Amino acid sequence: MNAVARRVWRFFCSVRLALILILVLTGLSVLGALIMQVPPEVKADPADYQWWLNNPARERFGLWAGPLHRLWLFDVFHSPWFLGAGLLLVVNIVVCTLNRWPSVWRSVTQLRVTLPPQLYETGSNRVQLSSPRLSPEQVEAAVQRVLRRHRYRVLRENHPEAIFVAGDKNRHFRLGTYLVHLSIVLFIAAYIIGSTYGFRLNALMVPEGSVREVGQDTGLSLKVLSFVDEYWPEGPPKDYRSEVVLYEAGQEVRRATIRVNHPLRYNGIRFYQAFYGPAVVMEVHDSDDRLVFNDAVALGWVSGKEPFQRPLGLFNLPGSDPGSDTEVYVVGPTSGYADPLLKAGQVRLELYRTGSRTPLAVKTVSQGQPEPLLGYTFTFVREKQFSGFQVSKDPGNLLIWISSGLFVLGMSLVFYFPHRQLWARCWRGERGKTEVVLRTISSRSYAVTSELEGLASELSQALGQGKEA
Amino acid sequence: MAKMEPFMFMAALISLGVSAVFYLWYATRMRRLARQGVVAGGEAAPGETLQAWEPGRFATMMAILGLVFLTLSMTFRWVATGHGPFSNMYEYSQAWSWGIVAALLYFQRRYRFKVLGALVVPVAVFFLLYAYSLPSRALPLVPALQQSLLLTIHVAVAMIAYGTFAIAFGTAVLYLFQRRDRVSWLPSSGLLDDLGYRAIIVGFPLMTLTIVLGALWADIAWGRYWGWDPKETASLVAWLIYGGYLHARLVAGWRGTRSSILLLVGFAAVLFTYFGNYFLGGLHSYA
Repeated sequence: MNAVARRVWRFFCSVRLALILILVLTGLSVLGALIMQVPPEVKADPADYQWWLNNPARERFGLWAGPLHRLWLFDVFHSPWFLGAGLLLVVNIVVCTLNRWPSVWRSVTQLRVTLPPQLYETGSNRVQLSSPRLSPEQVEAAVQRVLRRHRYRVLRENHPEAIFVAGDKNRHFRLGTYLVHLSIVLFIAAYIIGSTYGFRLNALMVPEGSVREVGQDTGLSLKVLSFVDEYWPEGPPKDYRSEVVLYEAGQEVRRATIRVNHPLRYNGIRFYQAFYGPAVVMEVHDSDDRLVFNDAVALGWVSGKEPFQRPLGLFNLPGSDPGSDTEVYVVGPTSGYADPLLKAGQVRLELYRTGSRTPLAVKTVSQGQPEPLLGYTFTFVREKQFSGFQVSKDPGNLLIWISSGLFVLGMSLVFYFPHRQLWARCWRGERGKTEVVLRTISSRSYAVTSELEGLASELSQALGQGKEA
Repeated sequence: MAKMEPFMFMAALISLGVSAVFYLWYATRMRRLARQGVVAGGEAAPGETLQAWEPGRFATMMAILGLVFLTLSMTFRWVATGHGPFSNMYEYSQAWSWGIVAALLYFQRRYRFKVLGALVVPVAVFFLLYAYSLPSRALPLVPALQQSLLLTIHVAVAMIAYGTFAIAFGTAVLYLFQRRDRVSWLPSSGLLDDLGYRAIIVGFPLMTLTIVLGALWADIAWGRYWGWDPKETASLVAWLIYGGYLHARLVAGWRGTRSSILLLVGFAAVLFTYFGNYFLGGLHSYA
């Protein structure tokens, strides 16, 4: 059992596993970038998703749509493969860092002053100098001066056969790796907090002059006083902005202008200017001439194929008993083309029993002319615009920025303040000369080797003579 | 001043073109001198009087001049449009070119070897030619891009990061030629390996910063910090590859050939990210 546990542990602390997982995540991400992904709000509704698979996906991928769906390739970033590999990578990171903790902590807290004797005599990261004039104590002082000049911390021990010196610098910054990996775990935690306790509405459409509830148990509703879209002389959009009033439980709590890059924030809930479109004000009277509907309808969807894509919206007329509601679809004319079906100033009304796909009645109505239809009288009063908002609440948001900051900080400490260790031994050698050996033990690192060479040449200048290998 | 911008651009293009030619000339001359046994180890040639140094020095001077012209061209554009010159492919390409030349000059000065320019300056020239082929007219910014501070920092940091990745790419290519230390006119494989690493430890944090700033901006403009937009995803891929390179090197002790290949793959991912908006679509498709 113990052996199995150790094997599992070793499996998870291998860097090879990390590289393989990164490769898998990379491959999946490339697929996700290349293959059309299903929008999250479509995926959330099984009927919408089915429609999406049968229409846009089928058009693009034909017979491949089915297999791609089954392999989750239309939703790569929520697929078991992607989440599984991500989870394994997190476990891998945690196990790896824990596994390395004892040795890292030792190297941070403990600096042995002496190395095993043979290390002073052989090896590549080693420089030997000698001085005929100076005593071992004077040479040691020179070594200390050079190390201190380079911000090394210096320890020494006096042994009968030699003086031993050890120096290190930036030892605490080695812990930066822990900051980096902790921040990744925090980041993922923040992501999970955000997607569990937050929400996101992609399309809250509010016509000018109308109020719409936000829902999601917020008790908030948003009124758009006016919406403005401006364009540059060259054509591209310049500014979209909405003047809004925010109500909480019916009470006005905020008045603001929402524009792109300038969301409205209220109690952790944020409103973003996202899109806009046409709206029509409709009045509906019933057979007793009572006003049963008087509001603007946002035409926020489209129906039909290019070039005759028509803006579409809907509203509900409550029936006398449950289940007898009437859905009224309002279709506006195509913009930019002469629409053979609808002229400017006209809309088409399609009435459906809720849940049914066959229309009860269809009629084209002109602005300002009341039209009887199915016992009601419909009046298309005037055109307006609606403003579309994204609304989101993300309690993990602050943690996201904290962990990002920690990541960059930790990484900078590790890279720009590298941990360095160096050992020296000074002793009186043959013919009264003082010998000194400088030694590092990092393997095959050009940076360490060149630092050693730099220190050695400074020392050799301090000793007032050239170096001897 | 806006009228000066195209002249500065052409001056930069010409300077860097000449610089590239001289770097290549320098490299071939180094090679010939090495055959004759005059130089060894790339950076270790003695005497500044050696003829090989002349084209090298001239190449560097032209590169510096090119950088100055590029800076002026971008500054004029900045003044004329009122926002950082980082809002379409023409401007990105110019900025990347700037990043490449700046990174080259920095590392060349620190590591004292110039052959790298023969590989890297042509890349910078390529991006300038590419920019030249694009419509240079500065279109006004769509609302989402009207965040002057974030636009400037997000893209400027990205282009410096990309510049250092180009350096890492160049050293990885040189390393693969030099992996057995048989090419006497190139620096030692150890130095090349280390230089690639140095470039990445400058570029990787900057790329991280780019992604974080981009996320911050996305949070302000689109209401989410991450949305698997194709460009976001592609940059994450490149980031993961370089992250893998750093781990392979620092933890698993990968050096040399294997880590150089990771650098080549990483640069391919960077190019994919850069040109991705042409075929990936998504919210970053401004060009």
